Amino acid sequence: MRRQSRSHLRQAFSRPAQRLLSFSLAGTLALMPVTAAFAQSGATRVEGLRDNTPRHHAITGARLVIAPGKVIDNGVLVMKDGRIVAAGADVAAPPGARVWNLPGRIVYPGFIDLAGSVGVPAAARARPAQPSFQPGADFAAFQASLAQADLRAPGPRSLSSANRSVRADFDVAAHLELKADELKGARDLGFTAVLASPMAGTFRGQSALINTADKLDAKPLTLLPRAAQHAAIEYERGFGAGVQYPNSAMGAIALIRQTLYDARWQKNGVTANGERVEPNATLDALRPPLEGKQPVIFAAEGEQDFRRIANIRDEFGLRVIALGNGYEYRRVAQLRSLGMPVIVPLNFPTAPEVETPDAALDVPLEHLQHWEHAPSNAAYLAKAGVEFAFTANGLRDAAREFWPAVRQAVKRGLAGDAALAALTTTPAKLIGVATQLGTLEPGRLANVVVANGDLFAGSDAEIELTFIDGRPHAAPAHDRAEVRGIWTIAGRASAEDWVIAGTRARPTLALDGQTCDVTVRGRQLVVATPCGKTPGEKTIFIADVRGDAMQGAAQSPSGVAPWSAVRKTPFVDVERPGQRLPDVPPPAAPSAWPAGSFGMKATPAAEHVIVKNATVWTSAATGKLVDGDVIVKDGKIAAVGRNLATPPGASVIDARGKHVTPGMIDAHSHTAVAGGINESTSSVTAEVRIGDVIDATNISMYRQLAGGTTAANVLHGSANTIGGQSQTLKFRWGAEADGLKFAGAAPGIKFALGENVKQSNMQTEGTRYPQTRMGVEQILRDAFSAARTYQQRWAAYKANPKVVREPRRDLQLDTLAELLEKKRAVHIHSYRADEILMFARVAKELGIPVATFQHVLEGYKVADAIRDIGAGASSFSDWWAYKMEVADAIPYNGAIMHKVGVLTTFNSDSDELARRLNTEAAKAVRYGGVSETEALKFVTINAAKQLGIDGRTGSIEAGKDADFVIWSADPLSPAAVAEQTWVDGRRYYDLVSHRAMAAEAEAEKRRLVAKALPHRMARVALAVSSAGGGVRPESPPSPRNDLQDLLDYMRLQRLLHMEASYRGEYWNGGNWHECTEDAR
Amino acid sequence: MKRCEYSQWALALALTLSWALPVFASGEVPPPKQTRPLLIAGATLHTISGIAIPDGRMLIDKGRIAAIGTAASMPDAAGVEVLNLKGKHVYPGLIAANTAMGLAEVSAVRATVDLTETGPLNPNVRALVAVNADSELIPVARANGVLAALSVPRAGAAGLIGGTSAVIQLDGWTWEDMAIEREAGLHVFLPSMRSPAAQNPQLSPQRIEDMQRTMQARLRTLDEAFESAAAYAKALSAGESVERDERWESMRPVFTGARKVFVHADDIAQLRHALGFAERFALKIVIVGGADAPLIAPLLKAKDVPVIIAGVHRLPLRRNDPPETPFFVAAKLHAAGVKVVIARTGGAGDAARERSLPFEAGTAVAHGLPRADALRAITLSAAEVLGVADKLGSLDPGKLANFFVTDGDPLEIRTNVERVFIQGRELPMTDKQTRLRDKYEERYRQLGAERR
Repeated sequence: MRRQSRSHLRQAFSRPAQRLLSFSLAGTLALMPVTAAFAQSGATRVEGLRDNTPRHHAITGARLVIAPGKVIDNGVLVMKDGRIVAAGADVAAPPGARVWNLPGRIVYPGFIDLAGSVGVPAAARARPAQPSFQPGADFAAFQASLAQADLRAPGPRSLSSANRSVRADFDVAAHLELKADELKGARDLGFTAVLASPMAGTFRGQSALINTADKLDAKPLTLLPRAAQHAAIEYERGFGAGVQYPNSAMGAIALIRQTLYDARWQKNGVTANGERVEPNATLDALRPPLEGKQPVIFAAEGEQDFRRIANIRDEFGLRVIALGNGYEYRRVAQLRSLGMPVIVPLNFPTAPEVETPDAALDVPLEHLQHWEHAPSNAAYLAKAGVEFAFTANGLRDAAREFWPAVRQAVKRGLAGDAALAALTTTPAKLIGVATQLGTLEPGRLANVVVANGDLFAGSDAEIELTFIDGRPHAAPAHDRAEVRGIWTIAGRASAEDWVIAGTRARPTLALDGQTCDVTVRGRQLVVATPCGKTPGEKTIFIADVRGDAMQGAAQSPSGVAPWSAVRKTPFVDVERPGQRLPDVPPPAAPSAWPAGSFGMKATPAAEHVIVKNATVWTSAATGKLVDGDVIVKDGKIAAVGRNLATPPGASVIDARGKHVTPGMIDAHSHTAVAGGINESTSSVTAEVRIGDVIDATNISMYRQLAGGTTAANVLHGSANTIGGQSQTLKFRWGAEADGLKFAGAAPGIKFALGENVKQSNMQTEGTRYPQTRMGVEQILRDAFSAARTYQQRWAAYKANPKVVREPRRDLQLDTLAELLEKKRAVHIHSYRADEILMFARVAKELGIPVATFQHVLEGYKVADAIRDIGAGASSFSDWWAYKMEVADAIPYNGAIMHKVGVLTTFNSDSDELARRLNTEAAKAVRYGGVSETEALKFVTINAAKQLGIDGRTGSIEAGKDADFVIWSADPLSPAAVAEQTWVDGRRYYDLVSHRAMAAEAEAEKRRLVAKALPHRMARVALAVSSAGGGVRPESPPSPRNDLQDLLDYMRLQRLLHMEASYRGEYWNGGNWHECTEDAR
Repeated sequence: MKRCEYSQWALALALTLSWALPVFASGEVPPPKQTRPLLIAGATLHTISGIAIPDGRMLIDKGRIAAIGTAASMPDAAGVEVLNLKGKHVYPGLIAANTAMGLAEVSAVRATVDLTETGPLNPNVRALVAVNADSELIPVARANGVLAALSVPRAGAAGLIGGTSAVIQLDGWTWEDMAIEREAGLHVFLPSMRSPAAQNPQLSPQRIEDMQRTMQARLRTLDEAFESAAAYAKALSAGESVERDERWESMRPVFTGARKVFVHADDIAQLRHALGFAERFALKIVIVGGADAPLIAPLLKAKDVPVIIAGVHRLPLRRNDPPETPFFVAAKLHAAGVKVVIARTGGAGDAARERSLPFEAGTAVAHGLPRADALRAITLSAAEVLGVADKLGSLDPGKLANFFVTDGDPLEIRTNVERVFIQGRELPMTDKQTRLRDKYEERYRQLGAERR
């Protein structure tokens, strides 16, 4: 059979220009034995009659789109036994083939969706992203649904990993749940193949590339089992019983990394001390991705996940395809430089709610901007040369929304060929089936789409037919009669001709100045005249449409009469296939990032400048210089002093009457963390890293710059005795996460003691160890014992690598070992004197460095113990009495610790307080009489020392980074307003340009609201009409309903609060103190 | 200069008693009633109601201000104790107009918090009777010049009417001693009326529906409560025999205008709703919160509705807002002619921080509010809005002699509050915190570990 088709093709492709195609065919045929999964016949025993319908088809008269950019206007496509065997202008339809004469049609290669859900078992589909609580419903059940109840934890009888979100060994091909309507849904959109993708879990399992033919049988449908591994930075929401690791974004990243390290190690088969390694099917399943044999499709939740995913990709040498989110256009340059292909959804938002001034006030500018830009996403990606494929995933109603969205993307400047590539050649290439799918070249599988117009341009082109595995499947449009045109009715004058226009699917009849809807069911036409709501007698026509004739009956009050008509003139669409639609002017590509107000268009320039005649608070030995000058050059402070000469080329800022201080540093912050600040499922989470989840879109950084704060120690929360690794940031607002990180800062980790870690303020009694301060100490000792053993194992291995096997790498113990090696220091959340003393003693005994005691509100009672281990103290100025362990907090704490010799700072632990640390420092003067210059050090150089960045920032001294603030008045006064905040010698905040940016954002919002308003007005009208139907007089609330209502409301509030703790990108910030008020 | 002898005595007693007292009992002892007239002399008297009087004189008798003037107008008199405060500044006591003072001690410990009664409608609960006169938080606030507070019973997550607040002065053996206005106002808390869809387009339509329905149900419940209370009041005044309903009974004064309704509202829709609500039931209202109030300042002015700003130190409601938006609320309202009171955010956790009230006003000054008006916003304006201007808020004859003495501007953090008087009695400047400070400074003295 093969020989036969080959010789047949040699005949067909006699012209030199088409030799290329036959070459590629030869290549394909050579590959065939290898790609066994693509074979179309099977070994299944046949019951009953055999289906031997010939699979030999020829499409003639149509335009063939062989591949993007390669069109044959009037060609013939021949398919035999499931493969394309010929395609071209001079190809003849073989005599034995079933001929489909399809003039005016366009034939495309079958489309491929790399993020399909067809066939995916329910349990592996996405966890409901927005679970909805119905008032009156069972709240406990609802909460259970929040935790991924549908993800079954593998029990002890399984060889899979114990964590229910690690499901790498889940094989969709082995669990296909095929549903006819889903297959048809994909097929009717033109998707002849979909990657049935698991969508739940961190490692989600392996997808299967399947055809969407009308068969509920996995074997003939499956093109490529285990086509890709799927992953996501996914985590469980909530905390407390029933919630499993991870419940934070950083926990998910740590889990992914640990799992990949485990999979590598698993391969070795023997532990360091020669023990047998347990079999683990989950880890085994990750070997192909680690060996580069299987791509990983990695879901990106937000615009910053691409970088996080790339970091994992590069750490393990994976081949990654990102599953995007529609916000790619905001990170186009990054995607290009990362070389990361992306599967792009077409989930363009509807116009935001702007129809009332109140709602418009609440619509964030970034949402309006996204509404405007989203349809241009693909155009921007194409322009930048980022490789992308389209998916219908992410649409609420793909059947209605997908093709209009594709066409909208094309209208926005995406070339039709690029759109076609995103549905054919690109996905085929990405998933490794470019030789099988994606074009109409001979040798490819006979997956073909036939449309009655240009799908990428015509506004009502429809898919009529698909061939899958060379078998035809009619789409609804295929059997729907084309009734448009001008019809002459038998026995009537031409003046009474019917003009039927409208769209093919929804034709309309213009009659007597009215427009009637014409119903077409298959070949049957039904129309009633006079149409609309006109009262009176109606005549109803019914007819069977065949070609240019229709025949039927007309029913009127006088009876039923036969009726027929002939089409005089076919309908001519004003938008002919291939013709470009009148385009809406696409918006200019966004120039500022982050989106919304106060985004930065560019990194501010490093200026050469002299600040003259200011009162300079140096936070250094020079103290306070009255009439001082500061020279800034190349991002550094070049000189500080009095009467400095203005260097040539430097611009002058006359700061007479103003004050200059170092940029302030917040030694305790949770600003700019995405996806939860606590990995609170476990008492020891040293493996998680705040640095993995920095949210560069967090407006708090800009707000803090506006308050003179330039750097922060961003900490894990206080839920665990051993929390996660901290990240020092410099607020280079507008930079992405990596650009915010303070290079060279001392590595830190958050530990915590007391009420939060023993969970004593939780609503229900906990069972997690520890529940007492006694237990807290034991957790510490136990963790570090394990770390010592771990160290010894590695030491033994390193001393004798040829003999000793490589130990399993454990990211948690790695981190604890770093502490033992003094490469990392602890920031210990602590309150009471007893626990402070305990930790000081234990830390000394274990030999782990302590950077700071955090909060440390009873530090004044045991300041000598803090001092004696060389630790700093970072405290609230005057907070107290918010929980039992701070009943003894006093505002003199800072002053007393300082006097005893502890390196002391005042911090914020709050997005709000962080923007006025200067007046917090003033409280050290008020409460305890610390001198003004020493007090300012509480928020500048002392914090720099605690974070190991004092060589770079924290004081105004020559050679340091030019991080400073120009204040309108004495910075220890509430009257002081930060007028300019400089970071690295760049003016990141300037009151004057700030006001201009605010005005610009306001104008932009006005423009966008005006633009969105017409899109919303229809909804308003709808709402009014439905409300106007009659307002029911409401009965007074009965006591029972009242109570139920109350409970529901409270639960909703609690839920919203919980969700708020998982803040995503573009968060508004919170007024509360993270460690203190929101502890969990 | 002669110091009032009893203050020394009180201090000594306080120190003696402090270690023997239970955890939540304030160690500071209320001094006895003023028996001798006292003349404050030499200080600048910041009257608030008028211009400051340098080198002024203020005569205090029987706990009230008897006269204000200068040395020329008020010569020394026999039998009058003279307190020479040359170079110092005297201010009327600050009034914290939105607090949980006396109702909450340690916010995370439920047993110490009596702030929120269960159920949505609690007009009849009275803050005053739960005020813990021995709260450790009281002397701490007092030491910064905060000498009176509005104790506000709050509504919970689903609550609507929190209860009836009281104005207390921050000294007294019992809440009866402390009471300035026993039933100051009825506190209504509106649910957030911001559009959930506008804020978060990711929300499912179902969730949006949930949120809007619950919000509408809340508002309906509130309306129904006022309708019922009005009907109750009407029936009574029509002479019908009506069985007593504690809830509606407690609300009768709001319909005659005898008692104000404090509507806690921040967003624009809540504010507009509050104004309409007031009109419908003919209420005298005060807005508490007011984050969006500048957006409808002319309307507030036209309807003569004052605003108690519940926190200058807070974040903008919206990400797009300029960071400084909350700092400017006071100045904008003031410029529009709206009566402005500056308070803090209130709530259980905030009771311990009322001492920072003047610094919130200080931030408002940095953002356009004239300094004199900022001071007024935490003294006389507060007294007026809380209905206690006959007793508190300014240094004027006839008012209670509740004042404090500083070495400078009280809105400045570095200014020291040196003395505090309530009804003419000087109070000890000690509190739990100073006692702990003194105790542990002694530890370092003993250790010799202190490094100077």
